[in-house]
Amino acid sequence: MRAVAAIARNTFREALRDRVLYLFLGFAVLLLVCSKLFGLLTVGDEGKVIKDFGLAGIQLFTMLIAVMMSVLLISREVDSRTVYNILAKPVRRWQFLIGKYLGLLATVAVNLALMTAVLLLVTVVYLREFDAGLLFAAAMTLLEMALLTAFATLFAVLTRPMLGTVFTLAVFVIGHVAEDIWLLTQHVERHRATAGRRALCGAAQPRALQLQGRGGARPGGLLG
Amino acid sequence: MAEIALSIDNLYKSFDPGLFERRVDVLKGLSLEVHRGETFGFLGPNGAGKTTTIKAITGLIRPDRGRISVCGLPHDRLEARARIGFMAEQPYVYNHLTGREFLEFHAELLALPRARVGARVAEVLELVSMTGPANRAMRTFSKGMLQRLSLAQALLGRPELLILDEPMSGLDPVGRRDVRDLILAEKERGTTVFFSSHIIPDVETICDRVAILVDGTVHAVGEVRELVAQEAEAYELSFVGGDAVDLETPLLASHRGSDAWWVRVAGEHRDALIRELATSGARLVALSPVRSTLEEFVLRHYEGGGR
Repeated sequence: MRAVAAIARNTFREALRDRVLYLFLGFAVLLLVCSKLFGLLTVGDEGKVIKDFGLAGIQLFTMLIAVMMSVLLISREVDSRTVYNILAKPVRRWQFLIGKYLGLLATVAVNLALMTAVLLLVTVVYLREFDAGLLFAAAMTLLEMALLTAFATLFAVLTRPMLGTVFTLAVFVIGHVAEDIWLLTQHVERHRATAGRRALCGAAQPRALQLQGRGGARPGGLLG
Repeated sequence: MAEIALSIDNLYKSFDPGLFERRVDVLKGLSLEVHRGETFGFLGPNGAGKTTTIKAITGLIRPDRGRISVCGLPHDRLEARARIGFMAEQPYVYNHLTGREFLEFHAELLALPRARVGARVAEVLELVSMTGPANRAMRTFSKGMLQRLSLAQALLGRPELLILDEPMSGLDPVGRRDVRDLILAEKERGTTVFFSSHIIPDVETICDRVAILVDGTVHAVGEVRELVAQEAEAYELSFVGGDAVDLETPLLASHRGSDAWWVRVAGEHRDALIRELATSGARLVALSPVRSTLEEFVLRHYEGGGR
């Protein structure tokens, strides 16, 4: 297990020295500026806007770190052949992969923790409230990123960095719209049945049918 | 019969370059044995399969067929892997680490006892004379320094079998001498050294035995002296206090330097010439087989067996 730990530590250190944590500083600044701005612009529930914005930002940034760093650090290890030095040692291939994965996950987790801390700080300072729900949201985001990092690791091993990034992003998008797609199919099924029946009994009302059909599919609902 | 440190039996490996290209057969039934404690030179032209063989031994690629055993263990067992110290052809390094951190990382991979990691790393750094720059980032190192560090990494676990893929390529004469001394020191310690090289004089000076690999198979294997003896048709001698013109032994060539004579003589006449010099009162200063002998031998194999 020492080998796994050593590889994980080395990966984490590599990410740190690649200055990945600067991303979190960028996030902090962005959040502060936007909170101020949205505070001025929104009428009503300012707190909700800040939290929503913060959580969305956290998700986006950690997602970027998870995808980019995973693909980058793994393919770098293979391209620069440093992996040869590792695998010629008494280390199994799976130990290398697990170590790499854990190191990447640690990088993502630390970033996530720092960003969540910033968000909590902002909510405490601006809104004078401590929302424990944010912690729960962060924990769930970590879970999501653990999954995403696993996919990124898989694709980084299988394909080139560019494709790996695209595939992992695709997994992220698919994961997020999966529910919408599922709901959509439910809708379509129901309406197709209704529409079919109407078409049979009321061929005399083509106009109404058209409107029904469009409303049922709700393409705007998916994208919006 | 000496113990076998490394045995390769009938190794085959081919690569599939792509969808519409023909498979490339790199190793075609390669077999060889390296005895414990010997320094074994692995020679061959570019593309003969030296690096592929080394990668197969270290488990970086899987051979199509054939068996490899290291110190009597199948080479893919971790116990076998722990006995190998491997230095790759190019130094593969992490830009983000310092030299010391790099070695500490590798010590962890080798699972050296924690308490001794620091001391062992310092020891190895000293061995390759890299103690000074050890705390600098590796991206600032020159090629020679990286090569030394890569060698240090191979020595870290006190391996029984040291596998070096062209350890001297790209080094300056001082670096080459240092690497040569290190290999000899390891040999003293009883380490088996298996190394590939293009630099024939180095191979000649440090190796007990050599194998010549051409086109995926071993063309010749044996002690350097043996192989050279087959070829050693000539010797070069230098002597003072006589005149080559007066000698009765037939000479292949002779010429007079500032104070000594230099002659070349066929192998079978060497002893006669030495005797003759002794009786004539001349003093023998140097005697050596013609330097290029192994080189010529190797070249003949490279050219003859290439295709």
